[in-house]
Amino acid sequence: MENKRKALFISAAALLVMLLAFGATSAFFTTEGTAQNVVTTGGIDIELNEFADTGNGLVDFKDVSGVMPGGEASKIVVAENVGSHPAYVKMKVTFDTGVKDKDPSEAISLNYNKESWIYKDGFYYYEKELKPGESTEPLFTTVYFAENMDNSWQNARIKINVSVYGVQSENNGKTALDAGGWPE
Amino acid sequence: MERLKKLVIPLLGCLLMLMSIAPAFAAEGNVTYEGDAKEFIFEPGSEYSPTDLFTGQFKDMMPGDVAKEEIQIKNDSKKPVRIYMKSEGSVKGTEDFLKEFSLAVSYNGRGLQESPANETAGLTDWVLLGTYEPGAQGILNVELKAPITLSNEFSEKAGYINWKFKVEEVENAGKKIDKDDNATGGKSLIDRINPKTGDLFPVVKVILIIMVAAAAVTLCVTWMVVGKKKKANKEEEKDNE
Repeated sequence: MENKRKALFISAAALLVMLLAFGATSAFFTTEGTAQNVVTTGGIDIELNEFADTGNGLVDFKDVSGVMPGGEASKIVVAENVGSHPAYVKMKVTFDTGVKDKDPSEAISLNYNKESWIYKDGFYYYEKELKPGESTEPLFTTVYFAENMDNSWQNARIKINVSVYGVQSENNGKTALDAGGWPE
Repeated sequence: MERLKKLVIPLLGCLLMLMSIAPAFAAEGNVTYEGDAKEFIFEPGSEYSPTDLFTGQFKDMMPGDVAKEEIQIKNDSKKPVRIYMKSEGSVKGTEDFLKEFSLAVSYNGRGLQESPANETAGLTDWVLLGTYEPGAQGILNVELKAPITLSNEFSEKAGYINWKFKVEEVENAGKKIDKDDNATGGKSLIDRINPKTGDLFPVVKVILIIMVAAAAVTLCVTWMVVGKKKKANKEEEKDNE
């Protein structure tokens, strides 16, 4: 009986020690949390705007008809940076006349703004970086019809197509002519 | 009056210096362990994620941009704690976008990650940032580079990176903390152990428990043996009488 009691006492003592140690360890608190971090990229957004000067102010450009040789039409072409990053801008001008074997320059000419736009390799490059919200100086403002247009131009429909291209100016050279990554 | 001037002017000078230095140390993002709530607070958050640590520099990035940020890690509890960090990498669906970027993360000059931003690299497992006394803080430096060659297909896109933080209250608050194991980031023994959620007995504690239990058992056995001997001696004396 005595030995049994002693054995019980030893076991209880050892168990108590282990429980105490476990208890101290269980008070060991941890917690976790997750941060979801976000990276975003920006972009370039350039719009082409065409206006006509009616004499009473600017209006959106509409097709002009019935122009005679020696006549002219108001067509003001500008680019606007409607994005949130500064950009370099260039434009390309092409013509569709529908008149066979005739060079469009025989019929029309444009008053290109050579002070603000630099011509190179078929494109007109705007001399300055265009900041968000800014518009360029017009590439041209008037279409002149040649006085000596021959009869092959009678009832012709001359389309002047203007395309605008933009590329970021940040981290991209000091001028539009230096910049890379122009869209095709 | 002269004595007062000699005291006040240097004090004002110190105050002005401190005020000019303070903004330079102001971190942009914050990870704070709130002891009362027993949770982490992540700031500043953004329109994309309430726990977003990446501030404005990491938004609206353009090819060629390098964004840098200091994130403050702080123990705002009344107990010293160990703070760990790991990365889960990019959230599904944003891997292709984020792998275009280079991400570098360091803590007190110790490089933790330098890899494409979609990867976890050196932060795949828990890394101990340091042991923080109540009120102590450290700085996590983050740098993200967008390549100049970043394609147009990645313009106006968003990528998500999950970071996990874990805190472990230090048991023996009164004990002197080892010089290497402080909030400036050091190499503690725990650094080499992969911590789980409080139910794993660290090796040292297990050894201690075994030693204490063994000592208790030895004491009891000794007491028993001595008791038996005394009894045997008494009986012998009785017999001799």
